Amino acid sequence: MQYRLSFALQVVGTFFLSFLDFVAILVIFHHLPHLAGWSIGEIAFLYGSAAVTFKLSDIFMTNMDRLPVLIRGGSFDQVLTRPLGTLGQVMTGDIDIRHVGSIGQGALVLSIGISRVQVDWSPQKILVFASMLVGAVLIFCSLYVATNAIAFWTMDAREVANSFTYGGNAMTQYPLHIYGVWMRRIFSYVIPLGFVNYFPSLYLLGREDPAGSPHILRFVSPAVAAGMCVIAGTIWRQAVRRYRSSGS
Amino acid sequence: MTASIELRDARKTFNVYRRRAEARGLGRLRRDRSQVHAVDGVSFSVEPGEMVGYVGPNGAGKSTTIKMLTGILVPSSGYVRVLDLEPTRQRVDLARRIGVVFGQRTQLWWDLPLQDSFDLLRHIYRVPEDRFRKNLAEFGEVLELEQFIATPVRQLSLGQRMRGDLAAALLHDPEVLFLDEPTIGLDVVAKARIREFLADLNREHRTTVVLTTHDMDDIEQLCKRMMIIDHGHVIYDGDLETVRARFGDESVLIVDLVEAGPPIEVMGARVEKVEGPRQWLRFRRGEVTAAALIAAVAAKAEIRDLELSDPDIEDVVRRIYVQGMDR
Repeated sequence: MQYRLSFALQVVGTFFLSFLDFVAILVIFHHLPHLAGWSIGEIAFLYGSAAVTFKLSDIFMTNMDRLPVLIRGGSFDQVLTRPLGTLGQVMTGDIDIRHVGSIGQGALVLSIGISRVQVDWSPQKILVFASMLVGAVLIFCSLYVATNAIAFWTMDAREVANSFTYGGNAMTQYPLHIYGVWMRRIFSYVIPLGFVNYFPSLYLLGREDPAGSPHILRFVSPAVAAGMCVIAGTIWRQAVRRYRSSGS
Repeated sequence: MTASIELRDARKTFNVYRRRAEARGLGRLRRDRSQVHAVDGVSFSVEPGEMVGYVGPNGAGKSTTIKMLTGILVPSSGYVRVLDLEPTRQRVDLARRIGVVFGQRTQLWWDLPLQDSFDLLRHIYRVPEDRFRKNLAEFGEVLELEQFIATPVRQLSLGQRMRGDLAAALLHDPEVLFLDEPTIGLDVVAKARIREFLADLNREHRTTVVLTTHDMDDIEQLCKRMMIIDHGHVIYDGDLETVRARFGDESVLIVDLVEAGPPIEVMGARVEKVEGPRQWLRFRRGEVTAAALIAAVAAKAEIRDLELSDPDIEDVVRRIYVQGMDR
């Protein structure tokens, strides 16, 4: 926060840059009244919930970019000699709050979405909505951890990790049923990105899945998120055991 | 009383990939895998309060051993215990009870003043406030940290930084202190200060100390016991005097004479090499003292300059191989 003007400009900049992303969707709706049967309000709801939760986990995981440097240079030694968890130590450090601009954009789109869809906000729906957001952050964070941990084997995994995290974010901006059968299966049961927002949104928006996925999937996002955290934690611990340090 | 450190047949093997130099076309993408046994069956134990020197040439496996003991590297096989804990599985519990200093690398925060690094470490190790103040006062005085405690670490000299690192590793009263090359790159004065500090620490706090070094003087002044490691094996474990007496008591006196002349003949030394006015005399410290030898040489020829070179660890290791331990 040393440089206020620079900070303000970056916040505004990330806000508008990420807004361009949503403009692409607006362009589609300029030509079509519906996208895969969903109205613009519903798409905004889906897009906004993905954007807010993804950017939030992106902020938590800013420091994962440093991981290959720590591994290659052998500075991960220090992380291991301190009486604290390794993941926590890697995650903390610089937290890049300039991303608040893009969170703001996601929140704006999400609130537009909420105002345009017809949802009867019963306590049950509010609970599902809140757990959807928390679960989405956890699923994205788990993806960050699990994919970046590959660096312990390969020395660098940022490109692979980015294709899962940023790619995952792009994928969750559209309803899952626009994808082909195999893609849907993968994103439901292998890399469970469908649970970030699509399945709970089916319930919240009162929509049917044209692909006919089981009803129960709409309510299991918190369990999926918890499972993802366990898997990511296990991968991380195994990865740390592979650390080779460097000659000194 | 159980041992502070115990290793039984500990091994660490690394896979190393090498690209085939002679390959052409797609063959260049193939790699040959070979295994390097960095530590190849090491066993020893260290009692509480001992101060042990762990020496050996570059790449002998010193750092790898230390890293297995401090929970950084997972051993490929074997039994490793420090304070009855398994270093990698009980890493966090162990980290609270040991101190680690790597001479080549700092654990301080590069951009922060030393004082701030200490404050952060106090929180990380949850050192009670009064303990922290008492330790900082004690170590700060002995290591003379006051002059630079407010300076960012990046601006400290190597010697100052090492003193800061030592204090940082001791704030939580560790029972065992691991030092990897604590005197590397330091000048004579800085080395002496660090050695004195370590000797006091071991005497007054009964801290168990394991240090790796290249410098035989570190061992001579600090450790009753030394272990020599080479190619991943411990080839000697015992006191320094024994090694000195058997393998390392040959020193070389290099004299620059005012005028070039024939090899000087003196008792107890033989001339190894003559290069103009410069002569190399090899002698055994057990047979003749350096002072007596210099006097004898001075009696025969006028000396312009002289230098005394003691055997370094590489010499000692080479000789152990040539002569064998059981002689």
